Amino acid sequence: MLKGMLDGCILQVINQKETYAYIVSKELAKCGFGEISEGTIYPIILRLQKKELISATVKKSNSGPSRKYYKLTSSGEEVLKQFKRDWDELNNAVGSLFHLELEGKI
Amino acid sequence: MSRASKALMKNNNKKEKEILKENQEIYTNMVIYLRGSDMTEYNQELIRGDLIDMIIDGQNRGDNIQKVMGENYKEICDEIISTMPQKTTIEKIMSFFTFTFRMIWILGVALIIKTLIHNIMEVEDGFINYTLTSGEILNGVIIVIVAGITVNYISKTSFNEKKHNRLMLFIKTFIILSMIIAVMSFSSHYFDYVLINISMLAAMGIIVLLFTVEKALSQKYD
Repeated sequence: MLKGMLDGCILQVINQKETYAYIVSKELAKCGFGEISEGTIYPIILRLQKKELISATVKKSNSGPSRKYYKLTSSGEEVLKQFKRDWDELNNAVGSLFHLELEGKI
Repeated sequence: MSRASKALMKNNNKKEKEILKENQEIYTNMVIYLRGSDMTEYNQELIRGDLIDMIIDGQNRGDNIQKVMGENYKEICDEIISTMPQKTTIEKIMSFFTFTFRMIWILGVALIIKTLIHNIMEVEDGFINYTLTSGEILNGVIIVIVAGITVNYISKTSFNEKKHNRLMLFIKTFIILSMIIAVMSFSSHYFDYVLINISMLAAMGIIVLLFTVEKALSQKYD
């Protein structure tokens, strides 16, 4: 489940703007995911590319080798919408469970 | 190897030189491990190119390979391998034949040179004939098998962090090599029945044919 969650979160970061793997890992760290290395992100990005949820464009960089910039495809946008719906449902379900605990019903 | 793979490999070999010495060991281990997978050579080069770019980009930020890759190198490689398309059964069979043909034509060239020198020294006519005994054929098979096992062993154990006892490693390697040499010496000494006796030109023709088939297979399936 956590693995699938990371896929969804990476889609969300890429959805905000066309970007490359290092920035994805930094954005996730900024949101509190902790240090996730580029090496950990890379196989997930490959998987998302294989599923055609993201596409890559190689762009020259001023400070080193060319970088692969990723953006969402239309299928990626659909999957991201579904991920958000699933997350809302899960979030509500877990919230309700904790609420019941607070009320002393479980 | 296809032209596209060759072009990628050439580009990667050039970029690879920018990897700092301190990052090279882990990078090399990752590449060796990926080489042992069932990915096509083209995909291996694609991945290698991405890894090189990530490492150099990291170096430019002041990050070492541990920071860029996150230290679970084997897991990352396994994830990459499981994500990328694997060779089909036919591609695997063709890769096996490519490797075998490559080994045979290399050994064939060595044997032709050996026979030529022998013929010139002994009978003063290098082009008389080309003979292969049962022992030489058996030794060729042994060399192909040992080479295949060695390549596979090196790629599968590239991440072994267990500290090797150098003396034990030397003794093990010495014993295995001695056994292989003993079997090959026995075979070439006792299995001297001539199985193939053809003209030198025919032998060269066969080697050229094997070379051509190997290159064609390699271009299509690697």
